[in-house]
Amino acid sequence: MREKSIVRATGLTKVYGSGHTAVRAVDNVSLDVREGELVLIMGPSGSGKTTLLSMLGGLLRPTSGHIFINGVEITTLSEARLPDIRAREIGFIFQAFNLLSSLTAEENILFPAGLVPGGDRRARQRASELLDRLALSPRRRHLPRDLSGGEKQRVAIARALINSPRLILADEPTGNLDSKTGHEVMMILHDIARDEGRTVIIVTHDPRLEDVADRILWLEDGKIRDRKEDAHLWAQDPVCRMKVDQWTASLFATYQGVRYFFCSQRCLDKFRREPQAYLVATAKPQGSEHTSGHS
Amino acid sequence: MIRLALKNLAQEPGRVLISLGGVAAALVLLLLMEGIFAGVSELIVAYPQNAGADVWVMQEGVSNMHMASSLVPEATKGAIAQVPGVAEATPILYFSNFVEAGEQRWFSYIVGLPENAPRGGPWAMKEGAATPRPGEAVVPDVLARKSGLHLGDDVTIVGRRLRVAGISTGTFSMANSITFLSYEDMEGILGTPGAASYVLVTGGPEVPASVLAQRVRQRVPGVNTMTREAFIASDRSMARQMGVDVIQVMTLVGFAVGVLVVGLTMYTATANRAREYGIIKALGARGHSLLALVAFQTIVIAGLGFGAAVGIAYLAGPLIQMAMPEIAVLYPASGLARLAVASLGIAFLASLLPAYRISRVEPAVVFKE
Repeated sequence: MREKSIVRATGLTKVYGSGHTAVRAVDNVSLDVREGELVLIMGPSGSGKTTLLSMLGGLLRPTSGHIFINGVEITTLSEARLPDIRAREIGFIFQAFNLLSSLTAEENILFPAGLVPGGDRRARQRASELLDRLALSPRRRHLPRDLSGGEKQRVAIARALINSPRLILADEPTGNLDSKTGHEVMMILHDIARDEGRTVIIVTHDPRLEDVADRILWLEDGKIRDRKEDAHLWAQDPVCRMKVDQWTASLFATYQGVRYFFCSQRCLDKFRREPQAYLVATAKPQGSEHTSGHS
Repeated sequence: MIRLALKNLAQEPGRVLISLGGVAAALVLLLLMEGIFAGVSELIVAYPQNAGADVWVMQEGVSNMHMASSLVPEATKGAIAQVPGVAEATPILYFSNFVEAGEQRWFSYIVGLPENAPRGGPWAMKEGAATPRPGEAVVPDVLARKSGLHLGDDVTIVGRRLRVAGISTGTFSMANSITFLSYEDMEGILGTPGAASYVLVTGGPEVPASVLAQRVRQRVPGVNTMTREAFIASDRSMARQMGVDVIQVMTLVGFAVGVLVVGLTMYTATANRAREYGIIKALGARGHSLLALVAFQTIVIAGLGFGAAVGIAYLAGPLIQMAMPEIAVLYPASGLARLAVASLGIAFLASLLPAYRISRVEPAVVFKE
């Protein structure tokens, strides 16, 4: 499953300005991300994460280097051909959701299908499936202004998936969401990579996402570097194994005298349906509490 | 994209209304100007339309009645009636001058009619005699009403006092009016005894008007002949030429106003949605699709403005005529077609500025907060 390279970048550099004022936002970065991988790009503000993501998405031309998306080198493609690659091969998810304000949730989801020749044909069916899957069906006819932050981001995710791209690029997808909604969005992205075999690259500052990632690239001063380990003490969601802050977590369940914490309602529901399946996988639940009651 | 364009417009009804209203106002101005001018031009040719001649005979080198003068000598007048195929020939005398009624002066076509003339006289009467005798005049109803004239009152033409013997209808416009005198009075005024200005010829049913016109022209030296239709077209063209410059200037002004109103409102709408256009680019839309989106929006606004303008102009036409009977409003199909083309031109030019704005939107804007 993870043999095929979906994103390959070599010697990627982006320089803004020239002469004394030149800034190397991304400096000689090479990476290879395979099918079904979920990769985080982390790093301090101004480290070049978004510039790197923009180049990988074909939205920004690198100063030098090469980018291959699903085997196609996009750095040498003309401006006329890049939109087609973006529409077919890449799904974008943004921190600010970036929905089109005059279109309903369903129309926003369908919009990229109209950009691909023949994309409209099966798009309605797929949009309905995505609306169901992301629990948006009752909100399909609502405008973005009438949706909550979590709903907007789920619409954006459905929009990113409508053309079944091999690559999903997400820029701080949980940045504008509360903790619980952020976890739910993260789990959806996790499932997109695990269950559908799509490649997901996420730029984020959110350390709670680290556990669901296959790899973490640490970007600092435009270069990929080794990252210093931070010491955190977290509870672990027994379903997805994501770190959950015990003190702020609002979703928990007690089973056989032990309290378990969950990142999202989705994980909590899964656990309630089949707790033993997750406890076998997590022999010793980290960060769980022993209590005297039962849920 | 079309759905998005329509939804974007629907989301900003205030902006659309302002833009549409601006276009409609500019186009109504154009349409009314042209409509009134076309209507007045038709009134100017009312006399040749209703005089009843199949063929108009006039002095060689003359091809109009409006802004023209013609003299057909007495001998020639007699020769015309002898041409085979001529059933009847009615001479008229004609010149343009003022009709003075009290303190008011009215510019008028003044037509001298022979006694018992079978054609060439007023075609609809309000009251009184249709054919004036010496010392009498038949004046238009609007002129009479505006000057407070009644049957038996006096008017003065070139210093000659004449009694109002009849009041005609359909013979008055803001550009001219038609007053009828006796042939004898007109000969006295013009000093051309026995001559005619024009000869109104009718033929039998077996001779087409064009054949008759050619025959008279060939057999009678020193005259020009025109069929009724050709003569009317020539006079209409002459009347319209006089207003073409004004119409052209007004068209340019209206066009510029339309372009500015639509262009600026669409530009601000585009600028307000610049981020959304960046999103659309990032999602994979091609540049020409976005340009088509903007162009479609401006076409919709210009099209709605055109529709509104036509509706308003057609409603306003009868109201104007009701309030001012001397004005006729006429919207020829060619004028509407020109206006439709102008609306498309407005849409095209108005979309250039927003299109330029869109072309400068970088798709990477999507990553900015």
